[in-house]
This record gives sequence, structure tokens and C-alpha cells, in this order.
Amino acid sequence: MSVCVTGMGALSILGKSLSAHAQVLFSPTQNGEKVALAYAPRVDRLSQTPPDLRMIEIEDEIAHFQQLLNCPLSRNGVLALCAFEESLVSAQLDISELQGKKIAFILGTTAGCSGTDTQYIEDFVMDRSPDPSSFRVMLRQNPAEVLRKYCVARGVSASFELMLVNNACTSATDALGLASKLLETEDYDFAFAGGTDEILFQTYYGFASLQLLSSHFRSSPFDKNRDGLLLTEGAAILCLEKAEKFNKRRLGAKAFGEIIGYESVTETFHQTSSSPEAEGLTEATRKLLGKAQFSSSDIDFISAHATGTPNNDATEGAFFLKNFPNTKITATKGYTGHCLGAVGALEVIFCMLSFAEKKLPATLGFVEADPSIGIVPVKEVTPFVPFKKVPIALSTSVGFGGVNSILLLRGVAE
Amino acid sequence: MKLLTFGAITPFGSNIAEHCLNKSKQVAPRVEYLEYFIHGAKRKIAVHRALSPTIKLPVPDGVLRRMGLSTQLALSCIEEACSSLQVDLKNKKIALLVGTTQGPSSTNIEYFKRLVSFNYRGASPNLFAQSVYNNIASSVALAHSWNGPTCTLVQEEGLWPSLMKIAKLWLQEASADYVWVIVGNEMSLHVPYFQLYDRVKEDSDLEVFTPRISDMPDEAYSCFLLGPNTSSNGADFDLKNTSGILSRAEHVGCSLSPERIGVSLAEFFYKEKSLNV
Repeated sequence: MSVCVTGMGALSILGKSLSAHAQVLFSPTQNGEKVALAYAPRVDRLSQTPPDLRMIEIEDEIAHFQQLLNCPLSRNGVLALCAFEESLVSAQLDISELQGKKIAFILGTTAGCSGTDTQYIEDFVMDRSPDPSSFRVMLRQNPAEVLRKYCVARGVSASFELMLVNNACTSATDALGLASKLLETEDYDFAFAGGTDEILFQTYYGFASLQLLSSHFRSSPFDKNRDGLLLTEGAAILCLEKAEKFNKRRLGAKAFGEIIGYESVTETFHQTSSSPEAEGLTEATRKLLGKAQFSSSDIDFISAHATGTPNNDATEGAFFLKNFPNTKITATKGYTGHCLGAVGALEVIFCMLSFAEKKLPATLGFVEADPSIGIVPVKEVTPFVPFKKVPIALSTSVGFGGVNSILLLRGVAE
Repeated sequence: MKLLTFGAITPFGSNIAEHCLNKSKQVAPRVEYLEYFIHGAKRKIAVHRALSPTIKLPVPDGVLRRMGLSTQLALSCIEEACSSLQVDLKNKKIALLVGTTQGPSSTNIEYFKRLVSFNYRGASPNLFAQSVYNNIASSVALAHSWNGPTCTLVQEEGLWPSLMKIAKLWLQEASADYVWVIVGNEMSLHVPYFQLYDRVKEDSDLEVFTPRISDMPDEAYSCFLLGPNTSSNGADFDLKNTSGILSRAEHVGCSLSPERIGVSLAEFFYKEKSLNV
């Protein structure tokens, strides 16, 4: 059974729509010098502020959705709503078509569900007796639940199933993987899956304390001088449908692509570092390709997790070189930064756009190969011709706790 | 799916047998008084705390240098469950599914406290790593060297059906030989604060508030080891058989219900097992 990607919605610091992302990703770069960040860094908390929190301007959207849903909403929920609305448009689905259907909202997030009212927590831990009403609202901000509320507010009565996956940086990849598998067994009409994460200053300081942030405020995947990641926020939601239902709904229409495999393995090496031998990635890939009956030479390109941290990129790079010597590698965190629980889905969307454009985005930020790894990802926007009729790609994600998750993706035949 | 073993740690007992015995004898659960500063005065609220876990780690000291309370509670009930396990988990693909609403909340608060107290320069990498929601699953995996898939679901509504669907999927797809389903919550300091805040008026002289037991948030963890239907051991574990328990527990009246459902399921299977004996 085939699971099709029939709609997509994305927000990141690159832009607030699919077209904005495509425009930047597939325009020529000059050795990583051209950076097209749509939104400027914003200082949020004066002297206590991290120097460069990159936030998406969604103030208008927050006001709009709060009015529509008649309740306060977190940034996390609003980011998800923006991506969800775009995914509906992209899938050519009017909201009324969800009426009476069986719908799954399977989303990933990380910090977004840990309570986002920082002023409340600050007052609470300092014994300043805060009014808990704002935080009480935040505790109920499960983004999957927010999407359901949106549907109900728009008059949709349907059977909803909600899941919120919190697997650190692999959250969205796992949400997509689980959704694609459950779509096969649970008879959902639609599964909207992906991830959303707002940037929180406590997360920023946590990553800073682990010395994982780039001192140059940009991510340089696989580069010799990479020195860490750029923490950002974003949301990406994909509409998944079974092929036969999609074909019936939109006769003759083409999907963006398919999710044809998913595996996740936890390596028991360290809480916050990958094993140098990439044990988790190796095992997950072996299982994934084995089940799908593919070999590494069938893979046209890989969208790498590649955060720009010395440890992650060394592990991942060495793994790719050894196991996928003829496969093109691209990494997009130089554009988007690392939006944690959303990034896996964002990168799957970029793979789908690559299928459509027949081009791979450049690895922005990569200038010089690290001789200790030896990997050279695509440096410029690169056209590709699939090895076979239909392009095949892998999207990898690696997260805290040793989680390694991989999705196997397929484009559509001409 | 087959249920191969289970365990629980609750305010009534550090294992399911002790829990059921104490509950049947109407022994009082462990109560602790949390103190909050509200409307210019210190006020106390009584809460149920799980009995203190004691764990013998199966890995050498140093592999897990520090553990948050949730991890300790989860490891404690796994240790109990493993003591009566009749299958060998060595060299098997073991998956972990964790369901929680609050996650490692005390570590989260502690991390925040350090951050705020030191003017945002006191972030502790250790506390930050432990405050991540999937730290419970990854710590348990690390402690036992279990390297199947892990997944943490953070939700209140529909948590159990979601966990069952994923467990079934992993077993059917042979992503894992066995799946641990671990559900619980440690006492989240915010929740009793809400209750107290709502109860206390500015001119109130209330100093200690003891909610009704049914309104008290619980601190409890339970675990269930599930295997495929082809397992020679174990009892059938199907949501259809346990839906009565799920619906009863869903309506206990406390917002943090997943841990109560877990304990109710463990009670059910413990009583079933006793009857079979």
C-alpha cells in the first residue's frame, strides 16, 4: 500500500510559505555567501536575552487564530495552524471536505509542550506567586489538539485521533513515520503529520550550556570550520493519504511523492552525543533498506540531519561516505537553522520540492571539506537525474537520547 | 499482543503487590506537603507522592551519572516487572514507549530555577539534558542497553489507545521483539499550585489545604512488557478486554489521568494473576 504526500505547509526563518522556501532553496548561491533570511533576528528580553533568537513574525497570525478559536494560543500552536492551513490549500482540500472523515493529527514537538509562558515559570520558581491562568492555558496547548479545535471552530465534525510525539530532534520524522505506517493499518482518510516548535530562551541556554551553538550564528553543515548549530523555530505539516483514496478524490492529479519506509533505532551510547561509529544510523538504514528491498545504490540523494555541530556531522558524514559513496548529500540547516521538533518534516518537504524541481538545494554554509571526514555535499543548486525512473531519497534525523530515525521517500513518475 | 510482565510504583506501594495490599487494607497513601508563596503568605497543600524508588542499575556506575525522578520511578517498576519475567531479553530488540503529560517536570523546574537564579548564566547542561521529555525513554534504554525504537507521547487524551497502536505496529513490523509501555507522571509542582491558588483568597487564613483524594494529582509510574501474539508466555493484552478499565479510569476526575489508568491496569492484571494462581 502506498502513502502519498498530497499537501504540504511550511514556515521557517526562510519564509512563511512553500513558494517562499522553494524560491530561496533553488536559487543559485555563491559558495554559501548568499543568505536569504526572510526575518531579522529579534531581541526579546533585553539584557537577559540570547543575542540572536531568530523568530518568525507571526503576530498577525496569532491575533487572527486567537480570534477564530476564541482562546489564547501559544506561538507553537499558531505555527502549527499556519502550516496546517497551507497544507489544506496545497492538497486542494476545502476544510468542509474533512466533514465526517477519520482524521489523524500526528505532530512532533520538543520544548513547545513544556510550558511556554516563561514569565510565569520565572515568577513561579522565584516564589513571586504568579497568577497561574496564563500557564494553565499553556499546559493545554497540545498542538495536535489546537488543530482539532481549529477544525471544530470551522464547523467540521469528524473523528479525530491525536498524537503528540516528543522525541527531541527526531520528533517530526517519527511523527511522519508513524503516521505513514498507521495510515496503512488504521484506515484514516487523512493523516496530517509533521512538527512544530517555537524557540524558547530556556532551550537556547540549554544548547548553549552544552556548547552546541554556533558562535557565528549560522550553521555550516559538514564544513571544516563548523562550530555548532543555529537554533530557530518553525513548523511543517504534510497531508498524507492512501494512494487509492487520493486517486479517487482527485482523479488524475499527482501527489508530491510518497513515504515508502521508516525506521527508528535508539543507540545506547550517550544522552546528547552520537556514537562515533554511527551505530544507530547503520542499524536503522540496514533495516529500512532491507524491508524496502533497496540497496544503497538505489538512493539518488540524502537530506542529511547535519546540524553543523562537530560531533553530529563527523558521525553522519563518515557514515554516508562509507555506505553511500555514489549518493548526493544535501543539508539545509544553513538556510533554516535547527527548528528542533519541526525540522524533520521541513526537510521531507524540501525533498518533495526537490523531486518536483529535479534539483537539490545547496548545502549553504559549506565552504571547505573537513579532512577528518572527507565528505563533500552538494555546494550549489544541483540538477539531478534519477538512477531509475522515479527518484528515491532518504531523510535522516538524529536526536538527544540516541534516537536515529530515517524516512525513505519516493518521487512520482513522469 | 501478549502481556509478559508488569510493575508499578505508587503512593500506596513500591510494587504492585504492596500497592494492592495497602489499598485493600485502606492504608493511607504517602502524603507530602508542598509549600507555596501565595498572596503574601506561605501556604501548604497535601499531595500524594510515590514511595521513594530504590534501583539496582544493570549498568556500571557512571553510565547514568544522574537521573531525574521520572526515570527513577520508571526504572523502579521495570526492575519489579523483570523480577517475575520468564523470558530472556538478552540480545532481543526491545522498544520503549513512554506516555506522560508532564514529563520530567521537577528536573525542568530545577533547570529553570538555576537559570533564573544565576541571571540566565547558570544553565546546567546536565539538568537541561535530563529535562528533555524523551530523557525518560533514553535513560531507561541506556540503563538496560535496549536499542530498539523509542517513542515518547506527551498527551492526556487518547494516550493509551495511541500507545497500543504504536506497540502493535512495532511488533507486527518486527521493529521490536518486545515493547515496554511505560506510563506515568511525577508530581508536577504546578498542578497543586493551581489548586491552592484557586482555593486561597487574598484575605484567607487557610494555611494547609488537603484536597479530596479523587482530586489529588497522583505520582505514579507503571510499566507493561508486551510481546507478539505468537509469544508462548503471557496473557492476552487487548484494549477491548481492558476498555472498561480505561473508561473508568478516564473518569476518575483528575486531569492527570494517564498514570491512574496505568495503575488501574496493573491492579487488574495483578488480581487476574492472583486468581489464576
